[in-house]
Amino acid sequence: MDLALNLTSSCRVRVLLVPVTPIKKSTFLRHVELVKQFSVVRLGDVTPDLQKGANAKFSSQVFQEGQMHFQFLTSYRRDHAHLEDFQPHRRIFGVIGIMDCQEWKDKNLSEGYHHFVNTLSNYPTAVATRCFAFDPTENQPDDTKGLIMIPNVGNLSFYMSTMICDFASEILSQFDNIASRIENLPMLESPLPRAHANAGYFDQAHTAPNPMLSPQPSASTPTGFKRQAPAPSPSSIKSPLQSPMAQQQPPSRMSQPPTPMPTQSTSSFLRRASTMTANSLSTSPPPMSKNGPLPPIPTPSLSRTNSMPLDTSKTKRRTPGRIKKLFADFYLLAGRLPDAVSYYQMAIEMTKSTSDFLWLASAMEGLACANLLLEYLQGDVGHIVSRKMEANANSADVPLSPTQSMEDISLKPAPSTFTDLLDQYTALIQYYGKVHTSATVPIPSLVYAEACIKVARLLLATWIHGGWTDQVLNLVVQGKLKNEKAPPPKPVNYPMPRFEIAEWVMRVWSVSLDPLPLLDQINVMTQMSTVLSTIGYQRKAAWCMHESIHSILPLLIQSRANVSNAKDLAAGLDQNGHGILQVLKHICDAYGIGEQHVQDGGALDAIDTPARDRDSSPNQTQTHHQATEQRRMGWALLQIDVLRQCIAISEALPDYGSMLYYTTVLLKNLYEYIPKDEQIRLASSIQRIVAMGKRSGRVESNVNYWGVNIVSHIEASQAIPRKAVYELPMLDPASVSARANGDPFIYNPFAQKKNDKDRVLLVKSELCDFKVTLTNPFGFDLELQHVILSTTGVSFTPVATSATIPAHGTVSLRLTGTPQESGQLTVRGCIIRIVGFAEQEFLYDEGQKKQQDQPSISSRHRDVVKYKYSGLQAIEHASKKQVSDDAQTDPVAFYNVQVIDDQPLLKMTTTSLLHGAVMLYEGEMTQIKMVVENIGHILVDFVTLSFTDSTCNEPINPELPMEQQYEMELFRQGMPVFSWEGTDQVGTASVGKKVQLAPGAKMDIIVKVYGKRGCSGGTIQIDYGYLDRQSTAQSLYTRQLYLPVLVSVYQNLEPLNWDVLYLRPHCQSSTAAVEERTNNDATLMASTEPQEDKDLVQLTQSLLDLGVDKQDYCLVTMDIRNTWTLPFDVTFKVNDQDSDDHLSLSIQPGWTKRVVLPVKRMFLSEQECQEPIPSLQPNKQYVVSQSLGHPEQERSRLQMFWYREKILEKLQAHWSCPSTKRHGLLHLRPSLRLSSSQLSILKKQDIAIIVNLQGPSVKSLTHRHFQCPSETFVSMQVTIHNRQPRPVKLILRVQPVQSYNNGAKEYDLSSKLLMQGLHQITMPEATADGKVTHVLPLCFLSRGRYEFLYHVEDVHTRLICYDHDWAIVDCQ
Amino acid sequence: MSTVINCIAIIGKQNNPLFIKNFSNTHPDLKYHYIAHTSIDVIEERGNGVRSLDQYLGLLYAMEDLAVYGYQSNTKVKFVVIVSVTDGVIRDADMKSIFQQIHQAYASHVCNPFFNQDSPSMTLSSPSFLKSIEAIGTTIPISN
Repeated sequence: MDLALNLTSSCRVRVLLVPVTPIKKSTFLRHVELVKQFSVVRLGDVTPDLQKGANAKFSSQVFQEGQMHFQFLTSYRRDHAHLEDFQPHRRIFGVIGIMDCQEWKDKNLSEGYHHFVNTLSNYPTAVATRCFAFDPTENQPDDTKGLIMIPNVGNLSFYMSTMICDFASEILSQFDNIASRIENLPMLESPLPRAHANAGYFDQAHTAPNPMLSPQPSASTPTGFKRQAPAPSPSSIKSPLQSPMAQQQPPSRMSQPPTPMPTQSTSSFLRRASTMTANSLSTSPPPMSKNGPLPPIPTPSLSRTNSMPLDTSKTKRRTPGRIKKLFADFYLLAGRLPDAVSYYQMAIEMTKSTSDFLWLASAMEGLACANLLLEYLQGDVGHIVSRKMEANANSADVPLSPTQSMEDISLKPAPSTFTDLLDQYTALIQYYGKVHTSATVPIPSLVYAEACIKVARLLLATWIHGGWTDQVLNLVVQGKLKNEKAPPPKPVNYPMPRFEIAEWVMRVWSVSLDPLPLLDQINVMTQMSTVLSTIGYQRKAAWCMHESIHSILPLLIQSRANVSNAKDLAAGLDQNGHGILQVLKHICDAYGIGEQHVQDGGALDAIDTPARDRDSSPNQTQTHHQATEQRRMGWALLQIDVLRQCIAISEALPDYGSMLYYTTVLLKNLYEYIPKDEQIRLASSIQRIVAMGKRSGRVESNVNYWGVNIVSHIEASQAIPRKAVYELPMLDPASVSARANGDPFIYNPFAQKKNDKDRVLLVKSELCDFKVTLTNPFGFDLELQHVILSTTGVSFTPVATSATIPAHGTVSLRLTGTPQESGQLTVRGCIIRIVGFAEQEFLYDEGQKKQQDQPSISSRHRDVVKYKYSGLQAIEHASKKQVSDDAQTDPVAFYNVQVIDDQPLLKMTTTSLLHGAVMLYEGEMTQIKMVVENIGHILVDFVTLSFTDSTCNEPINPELPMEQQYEMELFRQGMPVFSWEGTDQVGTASVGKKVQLAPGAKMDIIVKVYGKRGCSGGTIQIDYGYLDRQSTAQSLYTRQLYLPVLVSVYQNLEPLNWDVLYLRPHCQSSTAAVEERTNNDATLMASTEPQEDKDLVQLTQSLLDLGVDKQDYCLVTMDIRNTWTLPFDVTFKVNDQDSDDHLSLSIQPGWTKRVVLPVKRMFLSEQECQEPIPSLQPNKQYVVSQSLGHPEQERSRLQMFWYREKILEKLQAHWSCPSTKRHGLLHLRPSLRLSSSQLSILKKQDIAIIVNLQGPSVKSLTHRHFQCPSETFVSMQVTIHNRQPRPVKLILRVQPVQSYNNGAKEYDLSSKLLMQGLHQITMPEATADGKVTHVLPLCFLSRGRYEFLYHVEDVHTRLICYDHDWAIVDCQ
Repeated sequence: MSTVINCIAIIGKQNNPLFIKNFSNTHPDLKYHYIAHTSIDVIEERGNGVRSLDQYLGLLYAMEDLAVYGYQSNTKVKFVVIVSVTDGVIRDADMKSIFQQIHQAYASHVCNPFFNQDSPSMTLSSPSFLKSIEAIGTTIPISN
C-alpha cells in the first residue's frame, strides 16, 4: 500500500485502475500510462452537477481555479483501512476498469463488464466506478450499459479528459453524500492503531470505539454501488473493521437494516479474512478474528470500565471539531482550497480547545497542504484574487503568506512559506507527540512516520535544488523529489545543513515501527534510506536498507514456500530477486565489503559469466593477487552480520550464484572473526551450494573458492651433498686477466658479493625437492587431496602428494618433481585440490616478500601530493587508486630456478680405511686407496682432489716475529697431511686430472697420508664433472664426494737437547772439556756415556785420519728419546758437500740416546744472510713490525734464521721400526733452536786468523800446536783471511804467554822469548776474501810451553776479532 | 531522576571500532554496533563543520527508545554514548563530563608506548582501560 509521503498527498483522490481480464500486461500498463496523464483536473472543467448545480456542497463551479489531483493506483491493500476514516485521502474513491477490446473480439463485451462489476465488491469504499474499454474494433457494438468505449481514433486526449472530468464530477457529488452523513454522526472516534488491534490483551472496550467511524464509509459505499452495480449484500460491504460495539450507536446507514449483531460481525470478519487471503501478501491474520467469537458486549476489564464513560463523553465533546476537520479534508480533496482552509482553521480552533491533539495535528497537516497548493495555484494561475481574499479572511490567526503575495504573484514564492511550512510541521509533530497525554488511544505510528518523511522529503527537494524556488514548489506539488529530465544544479553553499534533513528522518524512529504492518515498515525504511543516501549519509541509508531487507526476508521465504510448487519458479524469481540483490550490493558497499574490496576467489566472475573461458586464469589470478594486497577495512562485526543477511536473502530467493559469492566473501575475508564451527558450516555450505547450483545449471563447476593464499613459501631445497652441484667459473684468458686487473685487495669490503650460498641448481632429469610451506588461516582442518608444483619454463614432471593442514596451522611439505630439459624453471606456486573443491592454483610471489623486507621508499615518495580521505570517501578513492596503480605495479615475481644439463654421479664403493680412521707415527707416510664408481649415466672426464685437515685451520697471529710465523706456516702448509699425485710439493695448486670414466666403470684413487703432529682428522674431497661439452657455457659444474678421515698421530721419537760444540784438536783435554760442558745438562743420563765416548773417539780418529783441517768441523749433539713401546732405528745423515756420512742407532723403548755428528762449519755470505724471511702464503697480510730494532740486531736475527735453515737442510733423520716395517721422517725442526753462542761455533769466522810456525826443526803436532827446540830461530806466520765482502784494514796484536803445568801463566817473557818487531802491527789492507800475512820471527830462550794469544782490530770500526784457538808452542 | 547509559562506544579515526561496551541487557550487542556505525555519518558532518572547536557534539539522533550522543576528539577518535530515552532532559554538562571521563580513560590508555594506535585490527582491551570505563558509572541525572 502506498504511503502518503508527500506534503500534497492529502489532496489526492485515489483511484484504482483494475484490469478486466483477459488483458495483456503490457497493454494494461500502456493504458495506465495514458490514464495517468489526466491526473490533474481543473475544477472549472469538471462537469457541473446538474441536479444540484452550484448549490452542491462540493460544487466544482464555486472555485473554478482549483484543481483536483487524482492518484491512479494499480494495486491496493486495505492495511490502512483503520486510518481511512481519519484521513479520507487514504480511501479509494473510484475504481476504473480497463478492458482491452482486442481480447474480446469474439465475445460479448458485456460479459467482461459484468465480470468487472463483480470484482467491485472487493473495493467497498469506492464511490465512483467506470469501465473503459480501449481499442474497440469496428464491429463491436457499444451497447453495454456502463461500459465506456474509448476509440483509438480522433482526439483521444480530449475524449479522455472529458471522461475523467465526468468521473470527477461524480466523485464530487458523492463527497456530498459522505459529508452529509458525517455531519450526522454523533460521535467520531480516533483511529485505533493496529498495534492495539493486534495485541491480544486489549479488551473489547478499548477496541470498540474504533469502528464507530465505520458507518460513514460503509454507509457511503452502497450508494455508489447501488447506482452502477448490483448492490452486494449489506453485510458484505460493511467495513471489515466494524465490530459489534458499533451497533451500540444508532445505525446511520440509510439502507441497511439492522441485522443480528453476531451474524453480522462474523460475516464481516469472514469477508475481511477472505480479502486478506485473496491478497495473499498479508502476514498477520485479520486482527479481530480472535475477538470475533466473543460475545457482542464483552465484560470490560476493571480499569477500562471506569475510563470508558469518560472516554465516550470526551469523544462526544470532541466530535464537532473532528467533523470540521473531515469536511476540510474533503474540501481539500475536492480542490476547493479556500473552503478547506477555512474549515481547517475552524477545526484547529475547536480541536485545540478540546486538546484533541491527534486531530489538531492532522488538521494542521491538511492546512499546510492547502496553503501550499494555494501558493502553487497563485504561481500557476495567478488570477484568483477575489476568492483568495475571502479565503484568507478566515485564516487571520494563521500566519499565511499568500495574502501578501497577491501583488507580486510572478515573483518567486517567498521563502517564508517554506519556513512557515517547517514551523507548522514542527508544531504539529509536537502535537502528535502529545497525543498520548490526552487520549487513551495512542497515535498511529504510521501517521507520525509519514509526517516526518514528508518534511524530510520537502527539505531534501529544497536541498537538492539549492533553495526554495518555483521549481521546487512545482515538484513538491507533483510529489517528486527532482526533475528527471533536467538534472538539478549542484547544491552549493546552501546553508541548510544535512543533519537537519537527517534529523527529520531520524524522528521516524522516535515512534516504534514494529507495530506497523510489514509492508509499511519496509516502505518507511526504504523512504528513509532514499533520503539518507541522497544527502550522503551512506551508513544510515545502509542501515535502513539492512533493516528493510530484514523485514523483507520473511516475505521472501513465505512467497517461496507459496510458489515452491510452481514449475516456472526460477524465471519469475530472477526478475524479482534482481532488485533485492542490487540492494544487497549497495549495503555491502556501504559496509566496506563491496566487490572491489573483498576477495572472492573468482566467485563473482562465476556469477557474471558462468560460461566464460577459463583460459584467462593468469589474468584473473593477477587481479586477485592485488586484492589481497589491499588492507581489509570496515567494521568486522557488522560486516559479518550483513553478509549473513545477504546469504539468507540469496538463499530465500534462491540465487545460488550470489549465495556462493556472499558465503565465500564471508569465509575468506572475515574468517578471523568467525567462530570455528561456523567456518566449518560455511565451508560445507559452499560445497552444498555448488552442488545445488550445478543441478540448477547456474553455477559453473570449476570455480575457485579459496581466495586465501595458503601457500606461504616455496623454496628449492639443496640436494644432499653427494648430489649437489657446484658452479665454477670457466677459466678463459679474458676473465683471468680481468680479474688480475680488477681488484688489488685481498679482501674488498665494498666489492659486490655474489650471494651464491642459497642458489640451488637443479639437474635435468633428476628428481629434485622443493620445500613448500602451507598455512591454514581457517579454524578447521584443510584436507589437501593432492598438491603439486605449478611451473612454467622448462617442462617439469611434478609428483603429487597429499596432506592435511591443521586448523590455524602451518605445514611444511616436500614436493618433488623432475625437470625434463635444461633452462630456466619458474615456479608459480602450487596447484592444490582441497577435498570437495575444485583444483586451484595458489601463487607464490617472491617479489612481494622482498618488498616486505625492505619497504620501498621510492614508491612512497612517488606521489608528491597525497590526500587523506576519511570514511566512505576513502573507499571511492582507494578504488580509483587501485585502477591507476594497476599499470605500474610490477608483475608477480615468481621463484626461478636454473636447470642445468645432465651431470655424472660417482659413488665411492670402497676405501682401504678401517672404520674411516688411520693411525700414524709422526713423520710416517702411508697411502689410502679409494675406489669410485660412476653410477650416473654420462661420462666423467674430470677429477680433482682437494683436502682439508684439522691442522690447517689455526690462524696465525701477524704480530708474532717473522721467524715464528714462518715456522707456523711451514707447519700448516709445508707438509700437508694429504697429498695426491704431486700435490705434496709446497706451493703446487691442486690440479684436475683428465680421466675417462664411463658409466659403470670404476677407478682407483690413491691418496698419501703424512703423520703430522697434532693432526686429528681431515677430509678428502673429490670434485668431478663432465666438462667436454660442446656448449659455450660460462661456467662448469662439478659434483663432490667427501671422505672424512680420522687421523691419529703418535709421537714415537723425541729429539732433545740439541747443541753444537767445537771440535778441538787437543784430544784428551778437549774431550774432558766437552764432557764438562755437556754434564751441565740435567737430562743427560749416565748410561749414554760409554757409547758417546766410543763415538767421539771414532769420530776424532776418523777426522785425524783424513788429515783435513779440523778447524772446519764442529760437533752437533742431540738426544733422541724413544717414547713409544717399540724399538726404533734412527739414521742420521749429514749432507755435506764432500762426505756422505750417516749414523745409525737403535733406541729401545723408553731409552734416550745421544747422537754426535761432525758437521762442517759453514759460512753464508752476507747476501745470503740478509735475505728476508720467506713466507709460504702468497696472499699474506704484511704487518710492519712495531718496534724496529737496531739494524745490527735485525742482521743477527736474519743470520740466525738462515744458519738454522742451513743446518736443518744438512741434517736429515729417518726412523724405521724393524718389527712393524714402518718408517718415516724424524722431524728435527721443532727441537732445533739456535742460540747465539751455538751460532758462533757453527759459523766460520768473518776474519780468520791462521797461525803457522816455520823453522828448521819445527814440528806441527796438531792444530796450532807446534814443537820446536829452544834457542833456534823460527818464524811465526800469521795469516788473516778476510771473508767479509769488503776490504778491511786491521791491527794485529800478538801476546805470548808462558803457561806452567799448574795453570799459572807468566806474562813477562822478556827473558824467555825474543821477538822481532812490535806486538802490535798494522797490517796492510786485506781485500775482500783476500789474505794478508805477517811474519813474526821468534826465538825461544827457555823451554816450556808458550801460548800465543792474538786478535785483530779493525782500524775503522774498532771491531775486535778473536780467535778461539790460540797457538801453542812446546819448546824443548 | 536518572537514566542509564546503555552503551559506550569508541571509534577510531579510520572509523574502525575500538571498543564497544554494552551495559544494558535489553538489546543485543550487535544493535549497538549498528547504532555506533550509523552515528559516524552524523559525527562526520558535524565534526567537520565550522563549530568543531567544541569536541562535544550533542545529541546525534534518537532511535526508538535510544538517544545517541557524540563526542569527537581532536584526533578524530569518536566517542558515542547511547542512553535510553526518558521524558526528562539530559543536561549537556552532565553528558560532557561523561565524555570527558571517557576521553581521559582513552588518553591514558593511548599513552602506553606499546599501544599501536594505527593498527586497523586494534581494539581496546586492556584491563586497566576496562576498569576506568567501568568506573565512569552508568547513571546520568536528568531534569524534567
